[in-house]
Amino acid sequence: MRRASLFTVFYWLVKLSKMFFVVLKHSINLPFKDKNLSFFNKKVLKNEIKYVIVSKNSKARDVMNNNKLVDITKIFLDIMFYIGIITWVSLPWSMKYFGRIFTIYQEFYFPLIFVFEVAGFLGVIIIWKLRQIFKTVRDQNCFVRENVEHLKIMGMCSFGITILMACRLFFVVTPSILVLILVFLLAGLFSLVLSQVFKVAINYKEENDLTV
Amino acid sequence: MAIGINLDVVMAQRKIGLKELAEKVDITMANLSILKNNKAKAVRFSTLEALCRELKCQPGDIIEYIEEE
Repeated sequence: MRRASLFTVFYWLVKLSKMFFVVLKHSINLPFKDKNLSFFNKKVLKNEIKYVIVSKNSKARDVMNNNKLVDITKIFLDIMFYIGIITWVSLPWSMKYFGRIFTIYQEFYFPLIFVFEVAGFLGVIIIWKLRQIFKTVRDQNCFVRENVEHLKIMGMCSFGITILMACRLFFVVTPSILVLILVFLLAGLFSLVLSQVFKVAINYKEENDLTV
Repeated sequence: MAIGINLDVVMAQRKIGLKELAEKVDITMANLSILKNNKAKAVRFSTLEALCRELKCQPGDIIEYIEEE
């Protein structure tokens, strides 16, 4: 009982401290803008034309920065990413903790640990790619070729999680597993469709930007 | 691409620089360089008209069709 409460205290302490630092980082605006500047300088050295297309939207970028929804989404994505990593790392111990309540986790400890570790890894990759896409959205340059790849990877990871959750059915059949399978299948299809939509949008944008 | 742009030739003949031409034609320097380096996907008729007016030439002097084998 004592070990379990210590674990929960530690868990919540790390969670709250991460949230505090994220909020602190967002209350100071200046370093954020400097980070954007160096990003654009690199683009100038690389490719003149890409720089032109990005700098065209510099006025819109300032408007975007003042948008509350963008800030909230960024904070949420950051929180989910770091909490996800912490949860994935602490998986063996939390599984042992849950094994006391649901005996199924104690019975098939090692197979279920394997399933959850791989599924957790894929989940962290999904959030990571989503954060990368959101970075381009914030810079008002979201219709780039890389985002198509990112969305495709997100879709493949979702399908992978679907298959892993289906493997869990061999141990115990609960309605939550079926719901999870359906949800991740839907998410994977959604990501794949969105990647195709992005491809079409990129073609339109390129044609528009390269019209002199 | 099959359409070649001979803008640099005409600019050299008329002895006009990129910046000056961009100001006269009222497009950005970046857009003009995109056109000059054959990276443009489309040219507006208004731009083409302004270019021909400033450089005192025909569209065929700037744009040419190169047959691809």
